[in-house]
Amino acid sequence: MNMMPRWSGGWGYQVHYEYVNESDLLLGSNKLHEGFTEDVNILHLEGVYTWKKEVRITVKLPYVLDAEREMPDGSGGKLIQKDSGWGDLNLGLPLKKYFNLDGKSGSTTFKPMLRIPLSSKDEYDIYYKEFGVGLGFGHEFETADYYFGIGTAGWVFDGNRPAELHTSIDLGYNFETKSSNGSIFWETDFHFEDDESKTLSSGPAFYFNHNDTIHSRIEWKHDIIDHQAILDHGNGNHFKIGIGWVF
Amino acid sequence: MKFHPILFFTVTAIFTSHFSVADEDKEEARPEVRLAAAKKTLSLSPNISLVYVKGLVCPSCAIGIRKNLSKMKGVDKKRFKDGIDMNPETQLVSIALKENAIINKKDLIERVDDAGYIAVEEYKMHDDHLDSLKFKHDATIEVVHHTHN
Repeated sequence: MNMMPRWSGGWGYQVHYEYVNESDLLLGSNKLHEGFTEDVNILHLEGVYTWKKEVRITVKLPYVLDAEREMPDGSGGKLIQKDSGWGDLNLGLPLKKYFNLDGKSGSTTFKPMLRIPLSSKDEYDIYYKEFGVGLGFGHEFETADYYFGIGTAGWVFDGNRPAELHTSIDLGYNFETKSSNGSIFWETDFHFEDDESKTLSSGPAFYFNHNDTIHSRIEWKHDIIDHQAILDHGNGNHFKIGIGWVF
Repeated sequence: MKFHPILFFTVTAIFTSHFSVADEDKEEARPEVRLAAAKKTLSLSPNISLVYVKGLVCPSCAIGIRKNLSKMKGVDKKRFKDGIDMNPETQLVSIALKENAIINKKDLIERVDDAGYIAVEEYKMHDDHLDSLKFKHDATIEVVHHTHN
């Protein structure tokens, strides 16, 4: 749903529900403790306004419905920690250069980003309550049948949180129904943190365009490679379902 | 592996620029498939304006074309979907017209451009031939006629 709205003056909003389950407590790539899980439920509220077709503004605000993780308490038992409430606000200014060819269309994107801390400090934190600045690059194109997208984004934070790098490669197949259309994707993400933590996750996604206004998307990813520099949960499954409206 | 953001961003920028430049230089596909489709569409759908929109390959991204063009004067919104039918395979856009309506070409070009695409030419049947009316993207909008058998 990131490709819309491409038209000047277009705007939209979308709601994603994300569920993450991580079943192992890792240090490096080793399972230090088994049976110590983390379950996270997040609602992502996102808005977009396309000023001119080359300039957009995006706003993303997550709300942690419920997050819970089990950590060792030092005496052989489990310490349960929880988090809930608003996450940090993410503002983006995607600047796009489109190209249109016979049978092919796409764009190259340069995206400055800002993270504004709105989250509260809890027993543990999904969002760190730190200012951050980020820069993203992306390139995507598609034909009537296929989609290809590659992107990378880096973040640095004003605090203890290590710098982050996200890279993604997405491949898609476009299909049409009688009155609408959709896409099936295979998406691969690489997440790297400056403390040497790195995660490679991959999985399918399904996008459907119900009509000119309503769109939905469902995705699942599994952590194929997970290396945590500090004691943290890993080897997770990430499930996301969302619906969006564009005008 | 140590994190080197500047190096990584530089490599990524070079990589994505390469893609972009390569795309600009790419040769276009054969037009005869589109022309055959245009002839067929015009023979099946009366009273339409048929336009070749370059880059129209993704119906979701191209929703703006329908949104923009359906607001034009003379569009019969009762036909197709809001008066507009888009074919990503042939990149042809059919605009359903009200009786005796004439579409303002300058307005059409601007509306397609505003949606992020390029209106290249319009097709019309003349006797048994297909005429391509090529849009010139300047202020005066010259129309050049080509005839295909």
